[in-house]
Amino acid sequence: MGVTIDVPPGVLAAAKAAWDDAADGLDGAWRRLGKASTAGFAPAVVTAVEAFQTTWTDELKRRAEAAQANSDAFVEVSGDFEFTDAAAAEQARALLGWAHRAAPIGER
Amino acid sequence: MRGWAVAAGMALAASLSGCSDDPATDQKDVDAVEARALAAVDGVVHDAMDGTGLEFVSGRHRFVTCGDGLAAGGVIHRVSLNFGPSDEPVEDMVDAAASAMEADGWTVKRVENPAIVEGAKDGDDLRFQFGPAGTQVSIGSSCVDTSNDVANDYQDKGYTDLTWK
Amino acid sequence: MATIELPRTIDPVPTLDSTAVRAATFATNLRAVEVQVKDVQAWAESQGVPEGWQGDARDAADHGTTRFARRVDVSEAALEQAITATDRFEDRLVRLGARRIALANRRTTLNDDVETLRAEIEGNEAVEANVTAWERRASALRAGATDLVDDITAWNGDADDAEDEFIRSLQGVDEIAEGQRAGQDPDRPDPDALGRAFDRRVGDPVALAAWWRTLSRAQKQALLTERPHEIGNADGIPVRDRDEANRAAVYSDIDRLTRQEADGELTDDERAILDNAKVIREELNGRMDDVDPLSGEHLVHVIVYKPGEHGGDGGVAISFGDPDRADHVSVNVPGLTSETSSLPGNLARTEDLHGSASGQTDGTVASVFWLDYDAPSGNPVGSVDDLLDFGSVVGPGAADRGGERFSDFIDGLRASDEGERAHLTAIGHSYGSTTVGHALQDGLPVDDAILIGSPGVPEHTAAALTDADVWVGAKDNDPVSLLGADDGPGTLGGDPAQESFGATRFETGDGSSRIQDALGNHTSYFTGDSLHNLGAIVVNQDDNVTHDEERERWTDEGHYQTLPEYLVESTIKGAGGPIVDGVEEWGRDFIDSLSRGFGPGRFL
Repeated sequence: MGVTIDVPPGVLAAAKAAWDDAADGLDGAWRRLGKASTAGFAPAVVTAVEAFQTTWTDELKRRAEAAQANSDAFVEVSGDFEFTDAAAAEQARALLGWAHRAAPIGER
Repeated sequence: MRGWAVAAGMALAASLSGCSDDPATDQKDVDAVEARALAAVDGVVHDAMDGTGLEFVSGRHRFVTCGDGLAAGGVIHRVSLNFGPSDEPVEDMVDAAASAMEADGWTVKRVENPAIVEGAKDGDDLRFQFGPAGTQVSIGSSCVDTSNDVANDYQDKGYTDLTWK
Repeated sequence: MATIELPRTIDPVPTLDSTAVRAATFATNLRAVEVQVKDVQAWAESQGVPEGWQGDARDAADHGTTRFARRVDVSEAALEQAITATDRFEDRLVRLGARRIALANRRTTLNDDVETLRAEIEGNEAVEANVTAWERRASALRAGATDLVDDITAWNGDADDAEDEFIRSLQGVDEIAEGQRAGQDPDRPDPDALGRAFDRRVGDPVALAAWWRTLSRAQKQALLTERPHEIGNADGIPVRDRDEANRAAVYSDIDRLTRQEADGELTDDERAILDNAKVIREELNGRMDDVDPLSGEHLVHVIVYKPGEHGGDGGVAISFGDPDRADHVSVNVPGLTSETSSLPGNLARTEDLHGSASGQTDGTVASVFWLDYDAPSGNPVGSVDDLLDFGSVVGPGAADRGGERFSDFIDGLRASDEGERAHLTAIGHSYGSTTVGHALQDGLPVDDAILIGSPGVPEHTAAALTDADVWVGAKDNDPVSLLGADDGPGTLGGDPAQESFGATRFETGDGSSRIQDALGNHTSYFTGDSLHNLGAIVVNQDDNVTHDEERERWTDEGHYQTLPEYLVESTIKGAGGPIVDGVEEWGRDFIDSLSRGFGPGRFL
């Protein structure tokens, strides 16, 4: 027996896809930032540029991973979304739009 | 009249669709043009630039179609080379480039802009444009007739980097 | 014995360790990153706690999407500051480069003058009159040398300062906590408010240009990474800023769509966008180190980037040189079968025009390739659909609609023009000449118009078409240019090469008269004498233009070759050679038709 969030049809699937898109967007971002060339800069400038790149490449990578984990939190089983327990469902509900923040959680 | 207009348009459509020679012959002609340009880079361009002391920045070459993609008609081979800034008077470098071209059998053409000198040989155009912030050298071939497919294949290869030996 | 003190030889001016072009490239990458971060942040924010919400803060803090939006905003804020800093660094490097060139010229002159005086002193007798004059000149040279050394020292200081400032700016946001503070900075630009102000002015290039000038660097950068596709294509925004926005859009589109492609989630429309973006990227990458030889700035600018428009063909405009600052600007419009995928050849031709024009002037030149209309495309013999698509070339609808878009683009260039009003030339090739013709008819604000390989324009005289000077290039063996004859088959309008039209026809050569060379004739206006003439017109050197006689009809000497005559004769001349696919059949049709009553030189 699984736990569900009581939202209109399609909301959970859309949320999963949107988080996946967010992960893709941030994935492209950190990869581009990480490989942006520092050729043509003076050595002192290169040091500063690389420090900036490292901090924010790492941060964006973490955000991309978080977005992917958020997408993965919505598990589709036989065409429906179910959660292992109420806590997992509450966590997933917090990843929906604000309008659904109080959507009922219940056992199927 | 209207019917003629359409017929004429269709006839043109057909005539603009490109020729269909033997691909192997096409390829041989195109490769010869490429080899000639790359030899010029190693020869006359080096002769012109070596004395300037300018830093080589980058160089590339590629093919583009003579016409548009679906009516390509053939290919043109193009080379471009970039060099760094210079404090020397451009007139001196233009003279050096002109001398190098003349010595190599190019027909040299001085243009109104004193920073530019051009040369022509075997259907190829060689151009030097000097400036305090950068120098550009380019070689362009004339159109080499090929089938559309061969032309588009060559264009699709994109840029190839050149090394400066 | 008099001693004359000459200044010592001035050492070369040091070179800059950082280059403006590479700073620009780094800024482009940062903007492309920022575009993607902003997309994600905007989505998350739209799903999070609404603006102005007054409830329990813990509710908002517990809401995962809200927390995520706030966290991504930290990266966004840090990137904003880095982009603004890099943009400023690039500008400072450009200005330092210009000052360096001036210093280097002064140094060369001064050192030469010192050597000249030294040689004069050593080669002449030191009589009093000479000594007095030499001393006066030496004194001036010493003062000049002192000034120059001081200026070089000041320049060095400014170069160091530019680097230090850039380094400090980056160091100010290279930790997460600093990004958080940047996010809370009350002076942080508000892209929503800026976007609303932009929306009110878009479509009015003059108002948009005036408003844009009032924005700070940070505000401009914030808006162009927030809405890159719109800023990049907005007529009236300066070309350099459009270029920055469009490059960010190209690279961020490629990143995003490549990921989607890897996930197997690419639609056909998105596939077309990705393909078009990649074509543009290849062109930009291949010219990454092409710089303006005088300024050291990027030579190439992307002024229009609409990869999804025109049924997937895409819209694009790319310039060689900066149209806002150039003395002479040309914009060429292509015709048959043009789409973003045909960019390599079209840009190569535009580059050649830029070279020809630049060679004929001491002024500055910008040459723009513009393709933001639905130019007839498709392989004419590929399928029935392609045939029908190509058949539309005989109708003026696409040219009319394209002409309106072209007018808007030119209005934008006029609005963003800096300094003295540029000498502006519109060039239309093939169906593009019809498009330019429709724009001219609507009052296109250009100084010169060039129509090459034209199948017809919508007026029968140049005077009725425009106040601009009209030039025509037409090879007699270019069949497309024969479509618009008074009694010809074209539906696009009159042949501008006819004498009665009243334009000035320039020399292009007539091309080979074999049918196999028809395409070559039609597509080779950007070579040889024709190219030289195009360049001369573009830089307003009319005396450099070699002229050809306008086409005359029904004179005692006869008449110029009409289209059916051309097709018959060229097919006969081409017999035995490698024949163009399909031409034999069409040639037979024409001969057939002629035998059924079409007199030479006439369509009935």
